[in-house]
Amino acid sequence: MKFLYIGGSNEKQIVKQMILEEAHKFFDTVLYAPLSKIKIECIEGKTKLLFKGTDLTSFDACYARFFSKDLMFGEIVLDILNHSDVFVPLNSEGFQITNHKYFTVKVLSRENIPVPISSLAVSPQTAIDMSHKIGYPIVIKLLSGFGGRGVMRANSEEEFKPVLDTLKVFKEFISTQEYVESNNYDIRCLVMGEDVFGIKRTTPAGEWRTNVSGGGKAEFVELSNAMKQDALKASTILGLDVCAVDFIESEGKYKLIEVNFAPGFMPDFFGSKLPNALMKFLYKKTREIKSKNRF
Amino acid sequence: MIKGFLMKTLFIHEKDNAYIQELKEAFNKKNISFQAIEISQLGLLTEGKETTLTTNGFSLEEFDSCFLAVGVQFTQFVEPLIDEFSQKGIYCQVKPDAYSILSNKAFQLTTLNSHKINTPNTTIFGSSYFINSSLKEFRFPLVLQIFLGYKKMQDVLVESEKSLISFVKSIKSDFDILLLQEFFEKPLDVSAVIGKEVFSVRRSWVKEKLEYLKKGATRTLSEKEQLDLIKACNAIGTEIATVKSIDGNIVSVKPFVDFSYFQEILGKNLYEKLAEFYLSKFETKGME
Repeated sequence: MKFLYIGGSNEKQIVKQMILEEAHKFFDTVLYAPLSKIKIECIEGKTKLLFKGTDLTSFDACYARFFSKDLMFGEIVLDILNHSDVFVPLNSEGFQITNHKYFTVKVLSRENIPVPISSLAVSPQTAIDMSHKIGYPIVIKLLSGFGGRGVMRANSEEEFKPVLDTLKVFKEFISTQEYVESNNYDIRCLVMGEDVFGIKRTTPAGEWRTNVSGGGKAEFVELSNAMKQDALKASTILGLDVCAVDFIESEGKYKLIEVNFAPGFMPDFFGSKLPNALMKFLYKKTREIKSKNRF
Repeated sequence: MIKGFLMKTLFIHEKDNAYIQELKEAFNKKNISFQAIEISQLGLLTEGKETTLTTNGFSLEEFDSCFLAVGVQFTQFVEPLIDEFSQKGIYCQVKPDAYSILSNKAFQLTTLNSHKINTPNTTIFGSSYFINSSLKEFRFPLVLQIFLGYKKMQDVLVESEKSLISFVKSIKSDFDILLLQEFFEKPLDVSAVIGKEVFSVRRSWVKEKLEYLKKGATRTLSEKEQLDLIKACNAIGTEIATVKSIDGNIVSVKPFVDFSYFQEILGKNLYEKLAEFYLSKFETKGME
Protein backbone atom coordinates (compact mmCIF):
# COMPACT_ATOMS: atom_id res chain seq x y z
CA MET A 1 0.00 0.00 0.00
CA LYS A 2 1.08 3.56 -0.79
CA PHE A 3 1.27 6.24 1.87
CA LEU A 4 1.58 9.98 1.41
CA TYR A 5 2.67 12.39 4.12
CA ILE A 6 2.14 16.12 3.52
CA GLY A 7 4.01 18.47 5.82
CA GLY A 8 2.87 22.01 6.53
CA SER A 9 4.83 25.18 7.10
CA ASN A 10 5.63 24.89 10.82
CA GLU A 11 6.59 21.26 10.77
CA LYS A 12 9.40 20.20 13.07
CA GLN A 13 12.12 18.15 11.41
CA ILE A 14 12.17 15.55 14.19
CA VAL A 15 8.41 14.91 13.99
CA LYS A 16 8.59 14.60 10.20
CA GLN A 17 11.47 12.15 10.48
CA MET A 18 9.67 9.99 13.06
CA ILE A 19 6.46 9.86 11.04
CA LEU A 20 8.36 8.82 7.92
CA GLU A 21 10.39 6.19 9.79
CA GLU A 22 7.23 4.67 11.24
CA ALA A 23 5.41 4.90 7.90
CA HIS A 24 8.13 2.80 6.26
CA LYS A 25 7.47 0.03 8.82
CA PHE A 26 3.86 -0.34 7.68
CA PHE A 27 3.50 0.84 4.08
CA ASP A 28 5.22 -0.47 0.93
CA THR A 29 5.71 2.97 -0.60
CA VAL A 30 6.07 6.21 1.30
CA LEU A 31 6.21 9.68 -0.24
CA TYR A 32 6.85 12.92 1.57
CA ALA A 33 5.48 16.07 -0.08
CA PRO A 34 5.87 19.49 1.54
CA LEU A 35 2.62 21.43 1.12
CA SER A 36 4.44 24.44 -0.33
CA LYS A 37 5.72 22.35 -3.23
CA ILE A 38 2.37 20.91 -4.29
CA LYS A 39 0.67 22.09 -7.46
CA ILE A 40 -3.04 21.96 -8.30
CA GLU A 41 -4.18 21.85 -11.89
CA CYS A 42 -7.74 22.60 -12.96
CA ILE A 43 -7.51 21.79 -16.65
CA GLU A 44 -10.37 20.93 -19.02
CA GLY A 45 -12.73 20.16 -16.14
CA LYS A 46 -10.31 17.84 -14.33
CA THR A 47 -8.59 18.63 -11.04
CA LYS A 48 -5.13 17.18 -10.37
CA LEU A 49 -3.04 17.33 -7.22
CA LEU A 50 0.61 16.98 -8.16
CA PHE A 51 4.04 16.83 -6.57
CA LYS A 52 6.96 16.63 -8.98
CA GLY A 53 4.66 15.09 -11.57
CA THR A 54 3.24 12.43 -9.21
CA ASP A 55 -0.55 12.35 -8.92
CA LEU A 56 -1.18 12.57 -5.16
CA THR A 57 -4.68 11.13 -5.46
CA SER A 58 -3.15 7.81 -6.55
CA PHE A 59 -2.13 6.93 -2.96
CA ASP A 60 -4.02 4.63 -0.61
CA ALA A 61 -3.66 6.77 2.50
CA CYS A 62 -2.51 10.22 3.42
CA TYR A 63 -1.76 12.08 6.63
CA ALA A 64 -1.26 15.85 6.65
CA ARG A 65 0.14 18.11 9.36
CA PHE A 66 -1.09 21.61 8.52
CA PHE A 67 -0.92 24.73 10.67
CA SER A 68 -2.84 27.99 10.72
CA LYS A 69 -0.52 29.58 8.17
CA ASP A 70 -1.40 26.77 5.75
CA LEU A 71 -5.15 27.39 5.85
CA MET A 72 -5.75 28.93 2.41
CA PHE A 73 -3.81 26.36 0.38
CA GLY A 74 -4.15 23.45 2.81
CA GLU A 75 -7.96 23.50 2.86
CA ILE A 76 -8.03 23.10 -0.93
CA VAL A 77 -5.51 20.25 -0.89
CA LEU A 78 -7.51 18.46 1.81
CA ASP A 79 -10.80 19.07 -0.02
CA ILE A 80 -9.40 17.48 -3.19
CA LEU A 81 -8.09 14.49 -1.22
CA ASN A 82 -11.41 14.18 0.64
CA HIS A 83 -13.17 13.88 -2.72
CA SER A 84 -10.76 11.22 -3.98
CA ASP A 85 -10.31 7.55 -3.10
CA VAL A 86 -7.39 8.31 -0.77
CA PHE A 87 -8.08 7.58 2.90
CA VAL A 88 -7.39 10.79 4.80
CA PRO A 89 -8.27 10.84 8.51
CA LEU A 90 -8.75 14.60 8.31
CA ASN A 91 -11.63 16.59 6.92
CA SER A 92 -11.16 19.95 5.18
CA GLU A 93 -14.06 21.50 7.11
CA GLY A 94 -12.60 20.23 10.39
CA PHE A 95 -9.35 21.96 9.47
CA GLN A 96 -11.22 25.25 8.92
CA ILE A 97 -13.15 24.96 12.18
CA THR A 98 -10.19 24.01 14.37
CA ASN A 99 -8.32 26.98 12.94
CA HIS A 100 -10.96 29.14 14.59
CA LYS A 101 -10.95 28.76 18.37
CA TYR A 102 -14.35 30.31 18.97
CA PHE A 103 -16.05 28.35 16.16
CA THR A 104 -14.61 25.09 17.54
CA VAL A 105 -16.11 25.75 20.97
CA LYS A 106 -19.43 26.86 19.47
CA VAL A 107 -19.83 23.77 17.30
CA LEU A 108 -18.88 21.34 20.08
CA SER A 109 -20.89 23.01 22.84
CA ARG A 110 -24.20 22.23 21.21
CA GLU A 111 -23.42 18.52 21.46
CA ASN A 112 -23.22 18.82 25.23
CA ILE A 113 -19.44 18.93 25.48
CA PRO A 114 -18.61 21.27 28.39
CA VAL A 115 -16.82 24.44 27.23
CA PRO A 116 -15.88 27.75 28.86
CA ILE A 117 -18.23 30.69 28.23
CA SER A 118 -16.88 32.12 24.98
CA SER A 119 -17.56 35.11 22.76
CA LEU A 120 -16.71 36.54 19.37
CA ALA A 121 -16.99 40.18 18.38
CA VAL A 122 -16.05 42.47 15.51
CA SER A 123 -15.83 45.72 17.47
CA PRO A 124 -14.06 46.49 20.76
CA GLN A 125 -17.22 47.95 22.33
CA THR A 126 -19.21 44.75 21.71
CA ALA A 127 -16.29 42.73 23.11
CA ILE A 128 -16.28 44.88 26.27
CA ASP A 129 -20.05 44.50 26.66
CA MET A 130 -19.71 40.74 26.38
CA SER A 131 -16.73 40.59 28.75
CA HIS A 132 -19.05 41.78 31.52
CA LYS A 133 -21.41 38.91 30.75
CA ILE A 134 -18.49 36.45 30.92
CA GLY A 135 -17.03 38.03 34.06
CA TYR A 136 -13.35 38.94 34.73
CA PRO A 137 -10.71 37.59 34.56
CA ILE A 138 -11.11 36.75 30.88
CA VAL A 139 -8.81 35.04 28.41
CA ILE A 140 -8.32 36.68 25.01
CA LYS A 141 -7.36 34.37 22.17
CA LEU A 142 -6.20 35.01 18.64
CA LEU A 143 -8.62 32.96 16.55
CA SER A 144 -5.91 30.96 14.85
CA GLY A 145 -3.10 31.11 17.41
CA PHE A 146 -1.41 27.84 18.35
CA GLY A 147 1.02 26.39 20.83
CA GLY A 148 -0.24 28.72 23.56
CA ARG A 149 0.77 31.74 21.46
CA GLY A 150 -1.72 34.55 21.04
CA VAL A 151 -3.37 33.81 24.40
CA MET A 152 -3.65 36.70 26.87
CA ARG A 153 -5.40 37.27 30.18
CA ALA A 154 -7.13 40.43 31.36
CA ASN A 155 -8.22 40.83 34.97
CA SER A 156 -10.33 43.90 34.34
CA GLU A 157 -11.76 46.16 31.65
CA GLU A 158 -8.77 48.48 32.16
CA GLU A 159 -6.42 45.61 31.29
CA PHE A 160 -8.62 44.48 28.41
CA LYS A 161 -8.71 47.86 26.61
CA PRO A 162 -5.02 48.02 25.52
CA VAL A 163 -5.27 44.45 24.21
CA LEU A 164 -8.28 45.53 22.15
CA ASP A 165 -6.28 48.43 20.71
CA THR A 166 -3.61 45.97 19.56
CA LEU A 167 -6.15 43.57 18.06
CA LYS A 168 -7.70 46.48 16.17
CA VAL A 169 -4.35 47.42 14.64
CA PHE A 170 -3.94 43.86 13.35
CA LYS A 171 -7.59 43.76 12.20
CA GLU A 172 -8.22 40.71 14.37
CA PHE A 173 -11.68 39.65 15.49
CA ILE A 174 -12.00 39.51 19.25
CA SER A 175 -12.42 36.11 20.82
CA THR A 176 -12.70 35.94 24.60
CA GLN A 177 -13.30 33.15 27.08
CA GLU A 178 -14.03 32.77 30.76
CA TYR A 179 -10.78 32.13 32.66
CA VAL A 180 -10.74 28.62 34.06
CA GLU A 181 -8.16 28.03 36.80
CA SER A 182 -6.03 25.24 35.39
CA ASN A 183 -4.16 24.06 38.52
CA ASN A 184 -1.01 24.33 36.37
CA TYR A 185 -1.92 21.50 34.03
CA ASP A 186 -4.27 20.49 31.24
CA ILE A 187 -5.27 17.15 29.80
CA ARG A 188 -4.62 16.48 26.16
CA CYS A 189 -6.66 13.67 24.64
CA LEU A 190 -4.81 12.49 21.58
CA VAL A 191 -7.39 10.77 19.39
CA MET A 192 -6.40 8.18 16.80
CA GLY A 193 -9.55 6.54 15.50
CA GLU A 194 -11.17 4.93 18.50
CA ASP A 195 -8.01 5.05 20.62
CA VAL A 196 -7.47 7.97 22.94
CA PHE A 197 -4.16 8.69 24.68
CA GLY A 198 -4.48 10.80 27.83
CA ILE A 199 -1.57 13.18 28.37
CA LYS A 200 -1.20 15.47 31.35
CA ARG A 201 0.72 18.63 30.41
CA THR A 202 2.14 20.65 33.26
CA THR A 203 3.04 24.31 32.90
CA PRO A 204 6.56 25.59 33.55
CA ALA A 205 6.92 27.67 36.71
CA GLY A 206 5.37 31.13 36.44
CA GLU A 207 3.37 30.27 33.29
CA TRP A 208 -0.41 29.89 33.26
CA ARG A 209 -0.70 28.64 29.67
CA THR A 210 -0.11 24.91 29.32
CA ASN A 211 2.05 23.99 26.40
CA VAL A 212 5.04 21.71 26.29
CA SER A 213 6.63 23.62 23.40
CA GLY A 214 6.81 26.51 25.87
CA GLY A 215 8.84 24.43 28.31
CA GLY A 216 6.20 22.35 30.12
CA LYS A 217 6.21 18.63 30.96
CA ALA A 218 4.07 15.79 29.68
CA GLU A 219 3.12 12.33 30.99
CA PHE A 220 0.55 9.68 30.12
CA VAL A 221 -2.50 9.53 32.42
CA GLU A 222 -5.58 7.37 32.71
CA LEU A 223 -8.62 9.25 31.34
CA SER A 224 -12.06 9.28 32.88
CA ASN A 225 -14.61 7.58 30.67
CA ALA A 226 -16.61 10.82 30.34
CA MET A 227 -13.61 12.81 29.10
CA LYS A 228 -12.62 10.05 26.71
CA GLN A 229 -16.13 9.91 25.26
CA ASP A 230 -16.23 13.70 24.86
CA ALA A 231 -12.87 13.65 23.08
CA LEU A 232 -14.16 10.97 20.69
CA LYS A 233 -17.38 12.90 20.18
CA ALA A 234 -15.41 16.07 19.32
CA SER A 235 -13.25 14.20 16.81
CA THR A 236 -16.34 12.67 15.16
CA ILE A 237 -18.20 16.00 14.92
CA LEU A 238 -15.19 17.69 13.35
CA GLY A 239 -14.45 14.79 11.01
CA LEU A 240 -10.93 14.42 12.38
CA ASP A 241 -9.96 10.81 13.13
CA VAL A 242 -6.62 12.14 14.31
CA CYS A 243 -6.52 15.25 16.50
CA ALA A 244 -5.79 16.46 20.02
CA VAL A 245 -8.67 17.57 22.24
CA ASP A 246 -7.50 19.71 25.15
CA PHE A 247 -9.37 19.97 28.45
CA ILE A 248 -8.85 21.96 31.62
CA GLU A 249 -9.92 20.46 34.95
CA SER A 250 -11.20 22.66 37.71
CA GLU A 251 -13.16 21.90 40.87
CA GLY A 252 -13.78 18.31 39.83
CA LYS A 253 -15.19 19.29 36.42
CA TYR A 254 -13.56 19.66 33.03
CA LYS A 255 -14.03 21.96 30.06
CA LEU A 256 -12.82 21.61 26.48
CA ILE A 257 -10.61 24.54 25.55
CA GLU A 258 -9.51 23.72 22.03
CA VAL A 259 -8.94 21.07 19.40
CA ASN A 260 -5.59 20.79 17.69
CA PHE A 261 -5.55 19.74 14.04
CA ALA A 262 -1.83 18.90 13.93
CA PRO A 263 -0.85 17.81 17.43
CA GLY A 264 2.81 17.54 18.31
CA PHE A 265 3.96 14.05 19.28
CA MET A 266 6.19 15.28 22.11
CA PRO A 267 9.21 13.08 21.24
CA ASP A 268 11.17 14.37 24.25
CA PHE A 269 8.69 12.64 26.53
CA PHE A 270 7.31 9.73 24.54
CA GLY A 271 9.94 8.90 21.91
CA SER A 272 8.36 7.38 18.80
CA LYS A 273 5.41 5.81 20.63
CA LEU A 274 2.81 8.24 19.26
CA PRO A 275 3.98 8.30 15.61
CA ASN A 276 4.02 4.49 15.81
CA ALA A 277 0.44 4.41 17.10
CA LEU A 278 -0.57 6.84 14.36
CA MET A 279 0.88 4.68 11.60
CA LYS A 280 -0.62 1.54 13.10
CA PHE A 281 -4.04 3.20 13.04
CA LEU A 282 -3.65 4.54 9.49
CA TYR A 283 -2.44 1.21 8.18
CA LYS A 284 -5.25 -0.77 9.83
CA LYS A 285 -7.94 1.65 8.66
CA THR A 286 -6.58 1.78 5.09
CA ARG A 287 -6.47 -2.01 4.92
CA GLU A 288 -10.06 -2.22 6.15
CA ILE A 289 -11.24 0.28 3.54
CA LYS A 290 -9.38 -1.49 0.76
CA SER A 291 -10.73 -4.91 1.65
CA LYS A 292 -14.29 -3.50 1.87
CA ASN A 293 -13.95 -1.89 -1.56
CA ARG A 294 -12.83 -5.20 -3.04
CA PHE A 295 -16.37 -6.60 -2.70
CA MET B 1 -45.29 37.89 13.52
CA ILE B 2 -45.33 41.66 13.36
CA LYS B 3 -48.74 43.09 12.71
CA GLY B 4 -49.28 43.85 9.02
CA PHE B 5 -46.07 42.11 7.87
CA LEU B 6 -45.74 38.62 6.45
CA MET B 7 -42.15 38.16 7.60
CA LYS B 8 -39.22 39.98 9.15
CA THR B 9 -35.77 40.23 7.55
CA LEU B 10 -32.53 41.27 9.22
CA PHE B 11 -30.12 43.08 6.92
CA ILE B 12 -26.50 42.80 8.10
CA HIS B 13 -24.16 45.21 6.37
CA GLU B 14 -20.77 46.90 6.55
CA LYS B 15 -20.23 50.50 7.61
CA ASP B 16 -21.79 53.15 5.33
CA ASN B 17 -23.94 50.83 3.25
CA ALA B 18 -25.61 52.92 0.57
CA TYR B 19 -28.61 50.69 -0.08
CA ILE B 20 -30.39 50.57 3.27
CA GLN B 21 -33.20 52.95 2.34
CA GLU B 22 -33.86 51.39 -1.08
CA LEU B 23 -33.86 47.88 0.34
CA LYS B 24 -36.17 48.87 3.19
CA GLU B 25 -38.65 50.41 0.76
CA ALA B 26 -38.55 47.39 -1.55
CA PHE B 27 -38.99 44.89 1.31
CA ASN B 28 -41.77 46.91 2.98
CA LYS B 29 -43.56 47.08 -0.38
CA LYS B 30 -43.69 43.28 -0.34
CA ASN B 31 -45.04 43.28 3.20
CA ILE B 32 -41.71 42.31 4.71
CA SER B 33 -40.52 44.09 7.84
CA PHE B 34 -36.87 45.10 7.42
CA GLN B 35 -34.28 45.95 10.04
CA ALA B 36 -30.69 46.93 9.21
CA ILE B 37 -27.67 46.47 11.49
CA GLU B 38 -23.97 47.05 10.99
CA ILE B 39 -21.95 43.87 11.46
CA SER B 40 -19.65 45.56 14.01
CA GLN B 41 -22.59 45.83 16.39
CA LEU B 42 -23.02 42.07 16.51
CA GLY B 43 -21.48 39.60 18.90
CA LEU B 44 -21.82 35.87 19.52
CA LEU B 45 -21.86 34.49 23.03
CA THR B 46 -21.74 30.77 23.79
CA GLU B 47 -22.69 29.60 27.25
CA GLY B 48 -23.34 25.94 27.91
CA LYS B 49 -25.26 24.51 24.94
CA GLU B 50 -26.69 27.87 23.92
CA THR B 51 -25.31 30.54 21.61
CA THR B 52 -26.92 33.97 21.50
CA LEU B 53 -26.46 36.75 18.99
CA THR B 54 -25.98 39.96 20.91
CA THR B 55 -27.27 43.05 19.17
CA ASN B 56 -28.60 46.47 20.00
CA GLY B 57 -31.48 45.23 22.01
CA PHE B 58 -33.26 42.85 19.67
CA SER B 59 -33.27 39.10 19.55
CA LEU B 60 -32.36 36.91 16.60
CA GLU B 61 -35.48 34.83 17.20
CA GLU B 62 -37.61 37.77 16.00
CA PHE B 63 -36.44 37.25 12.42
CA ASP B 64 -37.47 34.73 9.77
CA SER B 65 -34.63 35.58 7.45
CA CYS B 66 -31.37 37.41 7.06
CA PHE B 67 -29.77 39.16 4.12
CA LEU B 68 -26.04 39.31 4.67
CA ALA B 69 -24.09 41.85 2.61
CA VAL B 70 -20.54 41.93 3.89
CA GLY B 71 -17.17 41.32 2.27
CA VAL B 72 -15.03 38.23 2.64
CA GLN B 73 -12.76 40.00 5.15
CA PHE B 74 -15.49 39.19 7.69
CA THR B 75 -15.34 35.43 6.99
CA GLN B 76 -14.08 34.55 10.48
CA PHE B 77 -17.08 36.23 12.03
CA VAL B 78 -19.58 35.30 9.33
CA GLU B 79 -19.03 31.51 9.36
CA PRO B 80 -20.09 31.05 13.03
CA LEU B 81 -22.90 33.55 12.42
CA ILE B 82 -24.29 31.60 9.46
CA ASP B 83 -23.92 28.43 11.50
CA GLU B 84 -26.15 30.05 14.10
CA PHE B 85 -28.77 31.04 11.50
CA SER B 86 -28.74 27.48 10.25
CA GLN B 87 -29.16 26.11 13.80
CA LYS B 88 -32.09 28.43 14.49
CA GLY B 89 -33.81 27.74 11.14
CA ILE B 90 -33.46 31.35 9.96
CA TYR B 91 -33.08 31.64 6.20
CA CYS B 92 -29.89 33.28 4.99
CA GLN B 93 -28.85 33.51 1.35
CA VAL B 94 -25.42 32.04 2.12
CA LYS B 95 -25.05 28.55 3.53
CA PRO B 96 -22.54 27.37 6.16
CA ASP B 97 -19.04 27.01 4.71
CA ALA B 98 -19.86 29.22 1.69
CA TYR B 99 -17.76 32.17 2.92
CA SER B 100 -14.75 29.89 3.34
CA ILE B 101 -15.00 29.14 -0.36
CA LEU B 102 -15.98 32.66 -1.43
CA SER B 103 -12.99 34.11 0.43
CA ASN B 104 -10.49 31.89 -1.37
CA LYS B 105 -10.48 32.27 -5.16
CA ALA B 106 -8.47 29.10 -5.72
CA PHE B 107 -10.94 27.15 -3.57
CA GLN B 108 -13.79 28.60 -5.67
CA LEU B 109 -12.18 27.32 -8.85
CA THR B 110 -11.52 23.80 -7.55
CA THR B 111 -15.07 23.64 -6.15
CA LEU B 112 -16.61 24.74 -9.46
CA ASN B 113 -14.34 22.40 -11.39
CA SER B 114 -15.39 19.45 -9.23
CA HIS B 115 -19.05 20.31 -10.00
CA LYS B 116 -18.29 20.18 -13.75
CA ILE B 117 -18.83 23.91 -14.17
CA ASN B 118 -16.70 25.58 -16.86
CA THR B 119 -13.80 27.59 -15.51
CA PRO B 120 -10.66 28.84 -17.28
CA ASN B 121 -7.74 26.39 -17.14
CA THR B 122 -5.87 27.26 -13.95
CA THR B 123 -2.74 26.13 -12.12
CA ILE B 124 -2.51 26.86 -8.40
CA PHE B 125 0.70 27.01 -6.37
CA GLY B 126 1.34 27.39 -2.64
CA SER B 127 4.76 28.88 -3.37
CA SER B 128 6.86 29.81 -6.39
CA TYR B 129 9.15 26.73 -6.13
CA PHE B 130 8.01 24.73 -9.14
CA ILE B 131 6.70 27.41 -11.45
CA ASN B 132 9.82 27.39 -13.59
CA SER B 133 9.73 23.63 -14.05
CA SER B 134 6.10 23.89 -15.24
CA LEU B 135 6.80 26.57 -17.86
CA LYS B 136 6.40 24.23 -20.84
CA GLU B 137 2.84 23.43 -19.75
CA PHE B 138 1.61 27.03 -19.96
CA ARG B 139 0.01 28.75 -22.91
CA PHE B 140 0.45 32.50 -22.85
CA PRO B 141 -0.93 35.09 -22.18
CA LEU B 142 -1.84 34.16 -18.60
CA VAL B 143 -3.43 36.01 -15.73
CA LEU B 144 -1.23 35.83 -12.62
CA GLN B 145 -2.83 36.52 -9.26
CA ILE B 146 -1.27 36.38 -5.81
CA PHE B 147 -3.25 36.15 -2.58
CA LEU B 148 -2.28 36.66 1.03
CA GLY B 149 -5.14 35.69 3.29
CA TYR B 150 -8.33 37.14 1.80
CA LYS B 151 -6.42 39.87 0.00
CA LYS B 152 -5.47 39.88 -3.66
CA MET B 153 -1.92 41.28 -3.64
CA GLN B 154 -1.19 41.16 -7.38
CA ASP B 155 -3.21 40.77 -10.57
CA VAL B 156 -1.19 40.99 -13.77
CA LEU B 157 -1.32 39.80 -17.34
CA VAL B 158 1.80 37.81 -18.23
CA GLU B 159 2.47 37.53 -21.94
CA SER B 160 5.52 35.28 -22.20
CA GLU B 161 7.71 32.73 -20.40
CA LYS B 162 10.33 35.38 -19.96
CA SER B 163 8.04 37.88 -18.27
CA LEU B 164 6.63 35.13 -16.03
CA ILE B 165 10.12 34.12 -14.86
CA SER B 166 11.08 37.71 -14.22
CA PHE B 167 7.82 38.46 -12.40
CA VAL B 168 8.14 35.40 -10.17
CA LYS B 169 11.72 36.41 -9.37
CA SER B 170 10.54 39.85 -8.33
CA ILE B 171 8.09 38.52 -5.71
CA LYS B 172 9.61 39.51 -2.41
CA SER B 173 6.68 39.28 -0.03
CA ASP B 174 5.05 36.26 1.55
CA PHE B 175 1.88 34.88 -0.06
CA ASP B 176 -0.55 31.99 0.44
CA ILE B 177 -1.58 31.25 -3.11
CA LEU B 178 -0.29 31.99 -6.59
CA LEU B 179 -2.67 31.34 -9.41
CA LEU B 180 -1.96 31.21 -13.13
CA GLN B 181 -5.04 31.32 -15.29
CA GLU B 182 -5.78 31.08 -18.98
CA PHE B 183 -6.63 34.52 -20.39
CA PHE B 184 -9.39 35.15 -22.93
CA GLU B 185 -9.18 38.35 -24.91
CA LYS B 186 -12.95 38.61 -24.88
CA PRO B 187 -15.62 40.69 -23.14
CA LEU B 188 -16.39 40.11 -19.49
CA ASP B 189 -19.96 39.31 -18.46
CA VAL B 190 -20.84 40.53 -14.97
CA SER B 191 -24.06 39.01 -13.66
CA ALA B 192 -26.18 39.53 -10.59
CA VAL B 193 -27.71 36.21 -9.59
CA ILE B 194 -30.80 36.48 -7.40
CA GLY B 195 -32.20 33.02 -6.79
CA LYS B 196 -33.08 31.70 -10.23
CA GLU B 197 -32.91 35.04 -12.00
CA VAL B 198 -29.80 36.35 -13.74
CA PHE B 199 -29.19 39.99 -14.71
CA SER B 200 -26.14 40.59 -16.87
CA VAL B 201 -23.96 43.43 -18.03
CA ARG B 202 -21.19 43.08 -20.63
CA ARG B 203 -17.91 44.96 -20.25
CA SER B 204 -15.65 45.19 -23.30
CA TRP B 205 -11.93 44.47 -23.24
CA VAL B 206 -9.79 47.48 -24.13
CA LYS B 207 -6.58 46.06 -25.53
CA GLU B 208 -4.67 49.34 -25.46
CA LYS B 209 -5.29 49.82 -21.75
CA LEU B 210 -5.18 46.12 -20.89
CA GLU B 211 -8.40 46.42 -18.87
CA TYR B 212 -12.15 46.03 -19.11
CA LEU B 213 -14.35 49.09 -19.63
CA LYS B 214 -15.88 50.07 -16.30
CA LYS B 215 -19.21 50.96 -17.90
CA GLY B 216 -21.03 48.00 -19.33
CA ALA B 217 -24.03 47.38 -21.58
CA THR B 218 -27.11 45.21 -21.21
CA ARG B 219 -26.41 41.61 -22.03
CA THR B 220 -28.72 38.62 -22.18
CA LEU B 221 -26.97 35.34 -21.52
CA SER B 222 -28.16 32.13 -23.15
CA GLU B 223 -30.36 29.86 -21.07
CA LYS B 224 -27.48 27.42 -20.64
CA GLU B 225 -25.11 30.16 -19.50
CA GLN B 226 -27.69 31.40 -17.00
CA LEU B 227 -28.19 27.89 -15.65
CA ASP B 228 -24.42 27.48 -15.29
CA LEU B 229 -24.23 30.66 -13.24
CA ILE B 230 -27.02 29.51 -10.93
CA LYS B 231 -25.36 26.09 -10.68
CA ALA B 232 -22.08 27.80 -9.74
CA CYS B 233 -23.76 29.74 -6.95
CA ASN B 234 -25.39 26.56 -5.65
CA ALA B 235 -22.08 24.69 -5.74
CA ILE B 236 -20.50 27.37 -3.58
CA GLY B 237 -23.55 27.67 -1.33
CA THR B 238 -25.07 31.05 -2.09
CA GLU B 239 -28.30 32.12 -3.76
CA ILE B 240 -27.34 35.76 -4.29
CA ALA B 241 -24.02 36.72 -5.84
CA THR B 242 -22.14 38.60 -8.51
CA VAL B 243 -20.66 36.16 -10.98
CA LYS B 244 -18.05 37.14 -13.55
CA SER B 245 -17.70 35.01 -16.66
CA ILE B 246 -15.91 35.11 -19.98
CA ASP B 247 -17.15 33.13 -22.93
CA GLY B 248 -19.15 30.82 -20.64
CA ASN B 249 -16.21 30.21 -18.26
CA ILE B 250 -16.77 31.37 -14.70
CA VAL B 251 -13.96 33.56 -13.44
CA SER B 252 -15.19 34.56 -9.99
CA VAL B 253 -18.15 34.54 -7.60
CA LYS B 254 -18.55 37.35 -5.07
CA PRO B 255 -21.00 37.35 -2.16
CA PHE B 256 -22.54 40.77 -2.76
CA VAL B 257 -24.30 42.66 -5.54
CA ASP B 258 -23.76 46.29 -6.47
CA PHE B 259 -27.49 46.96 -6.95
CA SER B 260 -27.18 50.52 -8.20
CA TYR B 261 -24.58 49.53 -10.84
CA PHE B 262 -26.93 46.99 -12.39
CA GLN B 263 -29.97 49.24 -11.99
CA GLU B 264 -28.25 52.10 -13.78
CA ILE B 265 -27.30 49.97 -16.79
CA LEU B 266 -30.25 47.60 -16.98
CA GLY B 267 -32.98 49.97 -15.81
CA LYS B 268 -34.38 47.24 -13.57
CA ASN B 269 -35.12 47.56 -9.88
CA LEU B 270 -33.00 44.79 -8.37
CA TYR B 271 -33.94 45.83 -4.82
CA GLU B 272 -37.47 44.73 -5.64
CA LYS B 273 -36.21 41.53 -7.26
CA LEU B 274 -34.37 40.77 -4.04
CA ALA B 275 -37.48 41.46 -1.94
CA GLU B 276 -39.52 39.22 -4.25
CA PHE B 277 -36.94 36.48 -3.81
CA TYR B 278 -37.12 36.74 -0.01
CA LEU B 279 -40.92 36.67 -0.20
CA SER B 280 -40.72 33.49 -2.28
CA LYS B 281 -38.63 31.93 0.51
CA PHE B 282 -41.40 32.71 2.97
CA GLU B 283 -44.03 31.26 0.64
CA THR B 284 -41.98 28.10 0.11
CA LYS B 285 -41.55 27.75 3.86
CA GLY B 286 -45.28 28.29 4.35
CA MET B 287 -46.06 25.46 1.98
CA GLU B 288 -43.75 22.97 3.70
